[in-house]
Amino acid sequence: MANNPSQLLPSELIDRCIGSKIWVIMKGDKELVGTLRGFDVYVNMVLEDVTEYEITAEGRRITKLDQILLNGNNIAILVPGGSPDPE
Amino acid sequence: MSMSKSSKMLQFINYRMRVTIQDGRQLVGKFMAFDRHMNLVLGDCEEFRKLPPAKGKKNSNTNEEREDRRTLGLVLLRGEEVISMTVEGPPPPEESRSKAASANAVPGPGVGRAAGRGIPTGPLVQAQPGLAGPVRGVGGPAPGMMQPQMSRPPVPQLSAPPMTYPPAGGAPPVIRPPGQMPPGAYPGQPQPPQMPRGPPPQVPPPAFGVRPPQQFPVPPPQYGQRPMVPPPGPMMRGPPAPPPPRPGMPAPPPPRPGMPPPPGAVPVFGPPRPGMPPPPNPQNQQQNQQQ
Repeated sequence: MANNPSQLLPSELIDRCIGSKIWVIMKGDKELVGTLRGFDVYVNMVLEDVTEYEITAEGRRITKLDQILLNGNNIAILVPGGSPDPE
Repeated sequence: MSMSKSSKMLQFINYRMRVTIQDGRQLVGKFMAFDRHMNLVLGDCEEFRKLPPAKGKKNSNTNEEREDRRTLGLVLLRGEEVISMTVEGPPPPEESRSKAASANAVPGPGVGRAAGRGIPTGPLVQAQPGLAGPVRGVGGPAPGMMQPQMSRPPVPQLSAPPMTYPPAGGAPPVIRPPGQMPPGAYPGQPQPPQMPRGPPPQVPPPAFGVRPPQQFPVPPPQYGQRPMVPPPGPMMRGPPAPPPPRPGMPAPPPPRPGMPPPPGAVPVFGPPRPGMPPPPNPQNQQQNQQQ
């Protein structure tokens, strides 16, 4: 496992996202879109200009946040540069 | 199995894979990368929720079975979420190759590219160099560094010659007065006043050592001198400089502090000696001065 010939390691991909928009899909029905300022080994992330989408039975609840530290423990999917379609 | 865990994963690289994650969603995308955590990079990824299309190979049933489908694009999936993954796309890498060649735009064909890459991945060695390549490419600067280094040595060399030339250029004016004193001229070039002393420095050892380098510079300087001739003014200036010391006829003693015993005419004649006996020397000197 030490040598991974795959072309772009996941960690490298995240690193490339720093400074750009990123779409974070959490384990639950929650998603965030913001500018990635940094992350650590746990992929805790600092995000700026965040829009949070919470999908509920009633519909989507949108919350805007200037800056957040996101615990990486509940992240399921990262989408570089992407933003959720205006669903 | 001789196959390692990594190669088990590697054999699917660039395949279109369907990944089931913990919350029941499925992600379908080109399997581009993974790491030891099983974090996955999926290209052109689509997400399917609720009803898994499951075993239906392709989209025929998707609309009916899948309630929610959306396109995510390039995705990084956390390894912790991964439950399982299965081949969704063209299993034979060869197909993907041909498709890749035909068109990259089509999502399916996109896999084709992967196939091309995937095949080399079969042998770890090939794939690794591929990765190493880009990284080393970054090292490319290193070669750049090499080039500068190559240039550096020449630069000093180049600089060195110029250094010699300037003296030669400066020499011409100085040289002419010594011109009459060809031997003296060489040593004199650096310092005209020393010209009288020049003859002694001409002594074999320095002359030999100096000659080769000087000869080379000399011819060019001569050419240079000729053009320089039009501006005799500077040339004259050169001579004037010597005169001041000469009027210093008393001065000669100072230059020859070492020659205290013959402070009188002797020191004066001393320098001319190499050129001629005492009588001619004064004449030559005068001529030089006049010139």
